[in-house]
Amino acid sequence: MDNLSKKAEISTPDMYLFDYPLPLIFTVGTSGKYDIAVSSEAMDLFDKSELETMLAREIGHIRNGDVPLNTIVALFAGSFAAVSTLALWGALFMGFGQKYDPAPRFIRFLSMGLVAPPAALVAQLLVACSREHVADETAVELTGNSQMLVESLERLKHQVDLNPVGVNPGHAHMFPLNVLHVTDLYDIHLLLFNTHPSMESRSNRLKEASKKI
Amino acid sequence: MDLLNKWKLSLLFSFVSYSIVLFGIIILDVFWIRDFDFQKVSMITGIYMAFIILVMVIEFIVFRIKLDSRGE
Repeated sequence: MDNLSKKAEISTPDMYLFDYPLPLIFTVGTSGKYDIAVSSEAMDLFDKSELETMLAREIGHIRNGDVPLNTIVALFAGSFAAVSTLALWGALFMGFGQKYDPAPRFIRFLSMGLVAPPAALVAQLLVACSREHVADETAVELTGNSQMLVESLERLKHQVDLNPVGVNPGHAHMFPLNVLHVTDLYDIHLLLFNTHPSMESRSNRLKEASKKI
Repeated sequence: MDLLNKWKLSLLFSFVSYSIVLFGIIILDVFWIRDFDFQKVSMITGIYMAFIILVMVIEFIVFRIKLDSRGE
């Protein structure tokens, strides 16, 4: 992390580990102090060089100045989207059934219908998908290895596809790729929160970037 | 299922959710004054729906620009 920060000419961010069943890495912070959070699953999934590449992406976000806006968007969009979780818990406590029963899921679906469009609007208006391309290119510049980043992202995508775990959709723009899954009609509002470019366009851009290097 | 990949369907369901809230507001109003005042209910519906449709048109334009370019 120190080496990457020196190369990027930024102060070394603090690093935190959290326990979560999805391989997530993200950066938060405003006013010059940034923290990188790495999930336990990401530590298990990636080897040393892959982890370095993924951290280089986060350093790229810090160097390109994306993190303060991402953090503020996550605060507002995440708070909006959390209302649907509160509705679900409210339905559970009021005796509508278990988490997987139709009634609580329908209540969450209705409340998501109310909060998802404004929350996704905030995320879509303020987070440009081109920032992911720029962070990818910065990671390649710092590590000098575009293939490693493509492989790490594909591995991450594979793991996320195999193990779909719910996250607050208002935070989805902070992760290296889109981790939101639409498995049935109840989840259809998650489509609105995709702020990431497709894997295909990312790998094409990375190939071009590696040719320049 | 191709239907699940349609963000427009998501907006349609959102519109249904907002309509359910309007229905709740009308029910509350009717119970509050213990009468169905058609003129008042029409006014509430008009103002509420005008606001919701305006916001949803803005959302539709933004999502069409942002999501369709990514193939959603």
